[in-house]
Amino acid sequence: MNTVLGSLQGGGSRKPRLPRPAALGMWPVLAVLLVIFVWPTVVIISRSVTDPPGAGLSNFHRVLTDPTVLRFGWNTVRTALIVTAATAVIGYGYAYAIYRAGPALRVLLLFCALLPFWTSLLVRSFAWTVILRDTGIVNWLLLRVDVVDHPVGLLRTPFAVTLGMTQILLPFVILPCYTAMMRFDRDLHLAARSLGARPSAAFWLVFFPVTRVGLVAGSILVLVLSLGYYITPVLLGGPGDQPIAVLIASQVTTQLDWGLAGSMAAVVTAVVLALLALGWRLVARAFLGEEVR
Amino acid sequence: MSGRRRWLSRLLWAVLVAPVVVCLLAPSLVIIPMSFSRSPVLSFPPSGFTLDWYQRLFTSSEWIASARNSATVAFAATVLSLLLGVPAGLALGLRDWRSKRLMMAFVITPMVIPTVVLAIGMYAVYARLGLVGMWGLAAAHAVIAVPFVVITTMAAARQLDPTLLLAARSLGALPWQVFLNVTLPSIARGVLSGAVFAFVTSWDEVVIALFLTDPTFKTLPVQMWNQLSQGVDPTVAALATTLLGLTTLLMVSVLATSRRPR
Repeated sequence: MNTVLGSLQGGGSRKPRLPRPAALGMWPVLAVLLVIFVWPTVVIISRSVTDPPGAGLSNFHRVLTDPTVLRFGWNTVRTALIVTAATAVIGYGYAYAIYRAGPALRVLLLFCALLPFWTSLLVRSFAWTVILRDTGIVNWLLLRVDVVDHPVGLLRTPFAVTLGMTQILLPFVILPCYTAMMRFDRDLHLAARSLGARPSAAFWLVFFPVTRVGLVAGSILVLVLSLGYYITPVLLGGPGDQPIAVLIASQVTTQLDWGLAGSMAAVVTAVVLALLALGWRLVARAFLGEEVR
Repeated sequence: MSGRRRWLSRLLWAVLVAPVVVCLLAPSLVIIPMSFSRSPVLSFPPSGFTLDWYQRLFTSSEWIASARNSATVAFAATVLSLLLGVPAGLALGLRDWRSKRLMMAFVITPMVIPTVVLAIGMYAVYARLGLVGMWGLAAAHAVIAVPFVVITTMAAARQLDPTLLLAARSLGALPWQVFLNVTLPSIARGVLSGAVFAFVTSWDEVVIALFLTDPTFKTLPVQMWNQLSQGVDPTVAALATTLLGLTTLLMVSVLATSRRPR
């Protein structure tokens, strides 16, 4: 009872300690995830050194030298970097437009940003195939205004993959940027202006540095997610534009080469976790509302 | 800033933002007219008007069965992730304890590990655990849905004043009474939105489902995926439009309830 009374008197700054193990609620999820999430992941990664028996590091040697793996890997990295850059620029600009808009337009722009977030990934990728195909709306418009005289091949190109993934991942940048902007103290802007800063200087020297956290957090998440994309590249890309995720799947389903699949999975997982560990503070603050200590 | 320059800068913003709005909405809107087109190939502009594709969709036993499978899996996955995620979200949101941030990172990881890696790992292991068919897929989807429930519950629990729980305890309520009468009502909205996210995540998931299902037990996204790789007919557009209508309805109702004044 002493601890209870003590914490009641202590006031709001520290959370009071309850007289039972505070982390009790974590145990079920930890136990279950250990069996149905950690175990499968560990098994698949350990196949990289055990399949075929006595493989050692030979599978990793293949990952680093096999031209097919390198080509798929390069596709993945290139697409991920372009998509991250595109979503960063467009997402920050769009969030700024929401921030500056009047109340009615703000709701509309937010709705437009959220609708794709809620629409099925498969449905959106399929919709892009309908838009970009030779008989789709884009080619219809181009033919109509006589820019081209026969359909331009847009589908099954790296461009289609980049466009589709950028659209699908854009909300992950827009939302944290917008949150960061809404928290921005407008007095800072007024102070900068009254001290003689021109609008552009006030933006780049005050507004942008303060709201950058949302941009960085969103971009880390986009980079991490785009490294594992599967559905969109398969539907929108050509045979030469496929990412590492597709190669991993085909090694298991058609080649039955679990060793190579496992080592590629290990590399991708390591990269993803490393990126996330680097940006964890920012991501946690932007997406989980955790305060940085 | 002079009136003219302000007007110009607004115009500039409109020119920059309009294409983004078009790109955000286009994929959702373009498939709607296609689903009513008479043409059996998905070509623009749509020709004529027909409900044939919808009739074909709603009378196909294959589509109906896979929709039912999807709903069952999503429901089971949602229940599982609530049972696991709500206590975890409460532990993370209500109290401070050692290595809390590490635990939070761990619970969030399934969201960022590439689904292909999860899929082949589960494909290799789940059969040995006896997790096959509906239960295997539900367990797999619970793994990727749990982070949503944990995050939304945690956010709601942070708003809850822990002294309220202590007050209830000191007034003689038993722990389970505190949970039912104080804790749960205060975090209900967070739990509900977590449940919606969990359901939608499972309902929409393709990659893991491709590995863990077989021809006798297919989910809707798997059926759609097979259809897309076989050559598309507008039935898929009709399905996509139906799904779009359902999600918009869901989104609007969630937004409407979250706006309700306290």
